[in-house]
Amino acid sequence: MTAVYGRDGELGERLEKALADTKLTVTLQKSRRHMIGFRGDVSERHPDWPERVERAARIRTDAVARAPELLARFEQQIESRGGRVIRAATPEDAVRAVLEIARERGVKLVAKGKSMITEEIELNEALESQGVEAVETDLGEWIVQLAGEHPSHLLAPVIHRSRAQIAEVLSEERGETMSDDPAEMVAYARGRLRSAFLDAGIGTTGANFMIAETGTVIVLENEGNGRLVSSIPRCHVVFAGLERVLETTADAAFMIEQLSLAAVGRELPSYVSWISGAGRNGDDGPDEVIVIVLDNGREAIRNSSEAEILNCIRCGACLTVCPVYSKVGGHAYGAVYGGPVGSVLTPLLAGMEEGEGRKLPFLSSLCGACSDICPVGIPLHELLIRDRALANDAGLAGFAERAAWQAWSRAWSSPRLYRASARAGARSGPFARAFGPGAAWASEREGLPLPARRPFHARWAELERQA
Amino acid sequence: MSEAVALMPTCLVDLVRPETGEAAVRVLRRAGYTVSFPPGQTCCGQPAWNSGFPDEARRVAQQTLNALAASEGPVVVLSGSCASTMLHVWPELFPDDSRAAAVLERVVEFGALLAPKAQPATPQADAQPTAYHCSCHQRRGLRDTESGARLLDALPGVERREAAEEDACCGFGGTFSIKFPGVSGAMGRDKVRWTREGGAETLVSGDLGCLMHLEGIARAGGDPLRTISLPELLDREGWTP
Repeated sequence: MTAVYGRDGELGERLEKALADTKLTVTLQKSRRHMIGFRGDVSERHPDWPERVERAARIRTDAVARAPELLARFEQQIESRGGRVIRAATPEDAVRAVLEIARERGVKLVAKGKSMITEEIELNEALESQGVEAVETDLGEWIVQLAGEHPSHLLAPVIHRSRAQIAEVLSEERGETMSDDPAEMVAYARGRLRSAFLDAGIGTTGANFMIAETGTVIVLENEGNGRLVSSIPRCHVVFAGLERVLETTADAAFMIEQLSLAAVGRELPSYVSWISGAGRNGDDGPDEVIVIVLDNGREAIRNSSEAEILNCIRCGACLTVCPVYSKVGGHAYGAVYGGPVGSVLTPLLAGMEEGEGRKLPFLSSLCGACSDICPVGIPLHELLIRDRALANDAGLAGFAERAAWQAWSRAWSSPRLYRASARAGARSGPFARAFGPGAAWASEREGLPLPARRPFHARWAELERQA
Repeated sequence: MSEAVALMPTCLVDLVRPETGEAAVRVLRRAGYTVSFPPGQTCCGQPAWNSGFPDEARRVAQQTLNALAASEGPVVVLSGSCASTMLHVWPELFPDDSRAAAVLERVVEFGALLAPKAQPATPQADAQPTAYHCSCHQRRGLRDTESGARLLDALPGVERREAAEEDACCGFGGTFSIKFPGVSGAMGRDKVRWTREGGAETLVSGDLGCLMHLEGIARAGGDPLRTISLPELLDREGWTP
């Protein structure tokens, strides 16, 4: 079964653990402030930002709606230049395909570029179980791998660790104490990872976009490791969700800029790789390029009322800016995809029928900061609410909760019963204090707001006389 | 002839803080409005809608819509959050309903109605350092960060202080505050701290939900931060346009 959700037990326990970690909050809030700062600069440089968001939304909505047709064109194009496309319906299919590729080529070492899809299909675990070593070559991903953790942010996998905490991980790996000087840590990682690039039989990357008209895979990154793993090993395997497709190069050029602006505040990342097939006639490049296109529930979402969430381009901005995420960090969600987009996506991918993933849409104050910052205009807080309704309908809301809301709606759609409920509420103060919602409120706050003895509607007649 | 307005105190003000509603009536009258209180209104439906019970939300909102449809003049809502729900959610609850559309054209949040009439005042020597908390639904739903600040700036007895991290959510979030009290509380404690960092001794908001949450957080932490709703502040300071 997919690992989209359900890694570390109870949601409540994870939240408690995260809230106790004060260092985490300091780091995350710094990063939140940083993003708000550079987004201000982006808006100044691009005063047409709202129009850009609208354009991006149009491009993505159109591409997601036409994904099957566009993917077919992509496949035809890249295969005409020596590439190959494998469609994987499930994580198991994707894993099986990679293991077969590794076995056929006798590969013992896989060098990985950053890819959330490989987290979704738990590729590292699958490879190791077959005796194939997988090395993450993105610095943050490598540290997370060494620490035996998972990424806590779509873009900044190790953001949950301070510099000193990163130095601890590297010191253990090295077998001697390292300083937390970034330059020294990077130099060490560079030296250690170099051999992985040279020795790996397979290099893997994700795909930020796939272009239908040219059969091109776009890989964006800032460290150069993505360029190395896609060009040095003889076989390059790309992992992409089926929604990564775009129609034209012009669309891709615009979306690359939009993604980079949203994620890091710059028009371009340090590396943009355009991969349109295998290396030819002595070109630099691998002998084989294999693109594994994963469904894993996406096609069902695409055909549902929630298709808009597939417009996401994984910039990570909604995580960084989210006040809940910046309080508890990515691991608290217990899902591959955390933060607002993850809270919408996870239960849609994993299914609303069961599991803790369907509680995630409720883990939001609905402040709307996510919707505001989204570079492709996804109204994330509205999707969170729609997910809540879907989860309730699928059985998350038990009989008692459903009955309570129904009773509430019956009473409050009648002025007479509404007034009666006000009188009853005013009498039930002590009960409200001790039980249920009242107790939950009082766990963090002093003074439970209780119904007034004389509500406003009972005071109106007197107010009217004063006029 | 003074302009007629229809007051929608919201369920929270009606049932929990009627004093806020009384203050709003006095302030509106001093500003020259004739205030009516359309009978039969209950709630905008937000609690059920945000909890994922759209049918239950529709039923309650329908009641309030019926009550408001019979009124005249601007519908003055004593909450940015409820006004935002009406403007953004009611069209989904009542699609192709011209009566709902007509009511929504009249909906205005209390601060937004009065702010254009506010003239900047110079704070007195003993003016109270006060921060205005703009709720997220006022900020991002109504796209209005100005009204509350502008009204505070019109009060000689108030010296407005910006809170640090002004645009951060206070953590209330309706049922979020009781579904995830730990996270909500942690967000609230940050908000109180940031408010204090800005030098405020009083916190004012047009949204009672945020305000009661922050009041409870401050008290639980032994912080003497005072809280007051925007209508009550304007009433206490005797504001007139």
